[in-house]
Amino acid sequence: MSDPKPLLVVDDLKMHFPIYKGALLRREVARVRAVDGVSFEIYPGETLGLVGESGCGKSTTGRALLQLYRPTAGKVTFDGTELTALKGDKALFPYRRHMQMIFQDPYACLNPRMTVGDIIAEPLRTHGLAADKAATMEQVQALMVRCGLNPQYVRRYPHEFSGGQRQRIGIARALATNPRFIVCDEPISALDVSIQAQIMNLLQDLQKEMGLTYLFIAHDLAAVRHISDRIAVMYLGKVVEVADYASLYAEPLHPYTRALISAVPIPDPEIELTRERIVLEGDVPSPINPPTGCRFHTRCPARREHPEIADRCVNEVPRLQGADHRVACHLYDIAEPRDRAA
Amino acid sequence: MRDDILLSVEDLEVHFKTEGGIVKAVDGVSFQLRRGETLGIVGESGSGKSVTCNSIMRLIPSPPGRIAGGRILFEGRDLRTVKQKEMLRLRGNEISMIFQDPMTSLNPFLKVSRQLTEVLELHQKMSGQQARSVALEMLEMVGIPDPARRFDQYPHQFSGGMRQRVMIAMALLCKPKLLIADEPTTALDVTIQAQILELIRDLKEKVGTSVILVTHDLGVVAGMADDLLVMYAGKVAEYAKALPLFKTPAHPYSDGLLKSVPRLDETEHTRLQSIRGLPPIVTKLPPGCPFRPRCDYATEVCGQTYPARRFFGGPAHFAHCHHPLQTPDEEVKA
Repeated sequence: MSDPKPLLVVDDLKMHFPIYKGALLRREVARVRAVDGVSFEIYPGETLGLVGESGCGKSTTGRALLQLYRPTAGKVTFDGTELTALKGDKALFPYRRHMQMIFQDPYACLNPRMTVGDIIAEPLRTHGLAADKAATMEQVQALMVRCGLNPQYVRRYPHEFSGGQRQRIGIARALATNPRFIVCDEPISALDVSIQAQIMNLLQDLQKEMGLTYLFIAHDLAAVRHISDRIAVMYLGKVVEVADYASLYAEPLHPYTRALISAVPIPDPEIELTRERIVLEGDVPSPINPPTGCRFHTRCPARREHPEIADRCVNEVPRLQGADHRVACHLYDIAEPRDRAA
Repeated sequence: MRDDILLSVEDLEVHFKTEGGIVKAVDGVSFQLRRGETLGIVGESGSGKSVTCNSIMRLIPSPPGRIAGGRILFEGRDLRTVKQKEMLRLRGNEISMIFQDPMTSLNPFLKVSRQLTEVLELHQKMSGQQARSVALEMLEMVGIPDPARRFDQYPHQFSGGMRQRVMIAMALLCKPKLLIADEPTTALDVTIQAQILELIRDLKEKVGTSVILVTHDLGVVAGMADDLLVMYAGKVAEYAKALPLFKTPAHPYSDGLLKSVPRLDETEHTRLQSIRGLPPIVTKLPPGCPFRPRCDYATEVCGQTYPARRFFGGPAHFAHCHHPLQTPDEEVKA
């Protein structure tokens, strides 16, 4: 984490999805601003956690990083190469093997008509990473062992496996090309509690053995805190706070982060019955027509307590500021007027 | 039958006929629920927690399902033997249920107002006008903003959290004595989950309803439940008050479950202690204790006989285990 050169830099990334109307005169009537100006960097060997509620744009960010969606605006730089400047699939192809993805739904992400062996071998074949059939099979079985699967099951089909085992197949497939960076998009949320721990331990072991860098996307704050070195919190297409895992939970700055943390139940009745809860009102607004200024201002408890900034929250978009612990909130403009920005 | 006990389930057995033979989805489950209290039922998928709830409501599809044994005493009456007509009167009136997915439990073709007033007209024999005003009041009570306008909208016009509020409003309209909430917050975001749990806690106090809360999230029950029932493979692994269950679990499965979840308040990164192996397949249960293949304490006896019930510090805490992590009462006395 102390390595000064980041592996991946995301600069003002925007991903908008247009909504069209009309059959003859097709015109754009609105756009879903799923990701709207997100910046962060990921250092080699670290895990950056990305948390937020459904619809906040965390999965879209993950996909736009890998260029599975071509971003509307902004830059994504991987190991010095600006991916967003590369035109066409051919130009991107050599970078694909270094950046892989693990998906949320272990039932949907595996082709039911392919054997486990073929599923794991596909990336090897696509990128020409194995000399012949025998070498491919050898590599596939080694990957299965590494991910805790019995290599004798290589000819079985996905439906013969449980959810946790399927997730292991998905991980083995992602590892096949020996990637440097993996986007884990909610890899544990579809699994049973006792299996979640197994998969998280597996991901951590693999990271240590292979020097992997992860972007770990999840809505479960406890899981994200457990696995991440640093954490970015998203709300409605924006990053509101970035910090290392310990300080984010010890001293959350953004009112949204505070509410999010206080909403997570802790499996301990003594703590649960005495702890203070910040219950937010209302729902997350629509990303088609997001609130002006700070996007959280419609639900923000701090805005009510600080009338002096209430107007700025509505009119002015707060910038993400600070060095190691960054936050985008007008509350902190007041505490340290100009020097943070300087 | 003591009066403060609202519901008493005794040795419940629910069987399903499948191609692979008879599946004992619920096998000898017993528990009691006192008036005004909350029982949490915790378990992984396939542990029988939902089937247990559905059998209290007599919602087991038959065939293939069948309540094969035991008693479900609700205010002293066995729900297994009451007539269908009487069951219709109880459901939604004295016992109601909310489900995980509010969209599939609301009728997409009917306005929310119709779905709410129907309950009151049917059970409380209210007039249309009367039902409307009571339903509207309830919608306001569950915290739906602008209820008068929302009242005549369709379910698809509500967000997930709002739909769950509508479901809760519907379930509480007749001020039931028992509310069964089957994973009510699993489909919701954490901030919305916090709102819904706060609402259930609040309404429980106002209406005086007893609650059965089914969940796989130990954090959710920690702040809600008075008693806890941990289920594994259709059987009760452990039953205890919330505090002893979290602090001094007797069953290795309860202990493993608690240790395998990451906690938000952990101070540094530690390795999670996962439970090894896979969840049981109920059609192919091993003889003896179903948790044996995954248990670190298992010995030969665990593969031979199913462990009898053992008590820990009185009748309020018991577990089915040959090698419990606490000293059972009979050994304390001996």
